[in-house]
Amino acid sequence: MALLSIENLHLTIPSFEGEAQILNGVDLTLERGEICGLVGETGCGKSLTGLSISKLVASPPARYRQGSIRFDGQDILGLSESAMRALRGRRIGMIFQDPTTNLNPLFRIGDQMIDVALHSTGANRWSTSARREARARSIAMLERVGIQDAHNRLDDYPHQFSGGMRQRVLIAMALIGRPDLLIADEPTTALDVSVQAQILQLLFDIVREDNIAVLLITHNLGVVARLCTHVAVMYAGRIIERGTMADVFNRPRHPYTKALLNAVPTQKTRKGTLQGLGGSVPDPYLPHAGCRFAPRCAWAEARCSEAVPPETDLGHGHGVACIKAGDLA
Amino acid sequence: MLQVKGLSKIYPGRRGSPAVTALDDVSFTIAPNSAFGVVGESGSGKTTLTRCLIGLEKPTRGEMLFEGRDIARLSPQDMREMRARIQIVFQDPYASLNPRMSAQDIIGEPLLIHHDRLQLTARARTDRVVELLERVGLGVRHLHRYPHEFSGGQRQRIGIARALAVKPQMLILDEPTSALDVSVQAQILNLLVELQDSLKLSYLFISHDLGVVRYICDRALLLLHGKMIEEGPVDQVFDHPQSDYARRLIAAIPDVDPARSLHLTA
Repeated sequence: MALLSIENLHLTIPSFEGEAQILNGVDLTLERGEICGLVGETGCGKSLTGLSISKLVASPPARYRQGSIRFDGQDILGLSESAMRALRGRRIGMIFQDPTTNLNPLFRIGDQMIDVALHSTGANRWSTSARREARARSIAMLERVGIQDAHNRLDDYPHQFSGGMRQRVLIAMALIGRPDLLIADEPTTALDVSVQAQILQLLFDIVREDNIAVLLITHNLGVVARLCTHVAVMYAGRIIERGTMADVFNRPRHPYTKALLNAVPTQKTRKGTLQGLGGSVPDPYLPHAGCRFAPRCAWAEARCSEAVPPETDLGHGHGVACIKAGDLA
Repeated sequence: MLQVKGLSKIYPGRRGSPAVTALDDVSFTIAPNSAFGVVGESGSGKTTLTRCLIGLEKPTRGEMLFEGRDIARLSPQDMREMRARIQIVFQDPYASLNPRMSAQDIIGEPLLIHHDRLQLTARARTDRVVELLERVGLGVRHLHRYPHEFSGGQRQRIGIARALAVKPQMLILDEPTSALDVSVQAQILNLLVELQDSLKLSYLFISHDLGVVRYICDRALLLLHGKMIEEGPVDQVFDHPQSDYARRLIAAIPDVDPARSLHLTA
């Protein structure tokens, strides 16, 4: 049984303009040891997929119209808030994009980490021995993510840390409960490239040592190529291509995946020859039929707009939701 | 076109703390109708360099000759005139457009500021704004819309149109695509290449994205703590870097190449 399995997830959020259809049948499975990159343009539903897994989308007003999320056999959408609190920080860790806004500037790093450490074991917050033990675990975890002199740095405030160091602190916080699944939403977007390379290496080492699963939400295809074992490409609330990173990046079959990969300038791209992707992501308020990428697709035909294309399996778990996938090898 | 010689900027330290050398003896030349890339991590002095070039900071030492005249020694009147020749496009298209101004007001504002030189009537200004909108791939239908009605890529097009309004010879592009999706980034990069060709512009392009700099620029400069680490044609800087730092930085940049994957090479 997969550690995480999302099946046919539909999410709508009501607003003044009507009902926004955010997720339109997301299917995703994740095993231990896998680092799955969830990629797509702004507004495609990547972040809300991540938030849904830890049930952080307020519902109501949002509504899950169909589908399920199963984490280690438990139905996440059916769990109570107190049951979710027992999962978050203990079995599901999360890291968000901006390391400057996710730490409270008024509390010492140590106080914030010890809080999480105590929550992760369910220990009594007021017990001196539990606090001492949580402090020791915090120091060990900070050292593991590469913060030197951790037992002194624990008494520092967030502003005394650089951006990369703060992101390391947040990774340490997410990992201190020894989670089975780590959801990392754009963990390196705010960082410099050399710091980014260190953080990617750190995540890679942690996955190998602890055999955890990572869902890496990003729009940086270079980061996916460097770190991920698997890729899921999302468009308008649906995964349109999935597979191992090497399969999808070396042999993309969906026109959207091809277009995304072609839009990144590389060493070989000649000036003036970069292929952009025209148009923009579809309006989530409009009702739709058929393939949602069809209006921007160079290979679209009349039949593309008739029905939502089913996913075709090309072998080794390489799946493509395009009726022309066979012709576009 | 632009010649920077021995540029240094030292910020005096606050009480007790040492002075900060933001730029240390930086020299380079930008030829007419060429694109020059400046690459470096946070704190390397990229922003100080642009602030000096547009006259927001006075350099401590060195000169910046734009067509033979030193930008740092211009009178306020001459600086106004210089600003019409060097314009800037900012990184964040969400923060650099006033949400209370329509596209027409935003793009037309430089025409008003430089009215004493341009002498355009209100009618001619509107015509120029429409021409600029079309130039950057938007149209007359966008004239009366406000920033929130545009996507990130469209906003950056408006930022570019605003910079082009006074017919500058040089654009400073401060990470113009780093806030955009790759699909939109490609459109903006193609627009920049096309504009450079047709309007014979020079670019000073600031970025930390190696692929983008290599795609747009002819030459590049790599900065570290305000010092020049590498300078030369892009192919030479990126393929045959001389310093260890440049080699490490270039290796750290994740490119879309599965062959450099951590798990496949481990």
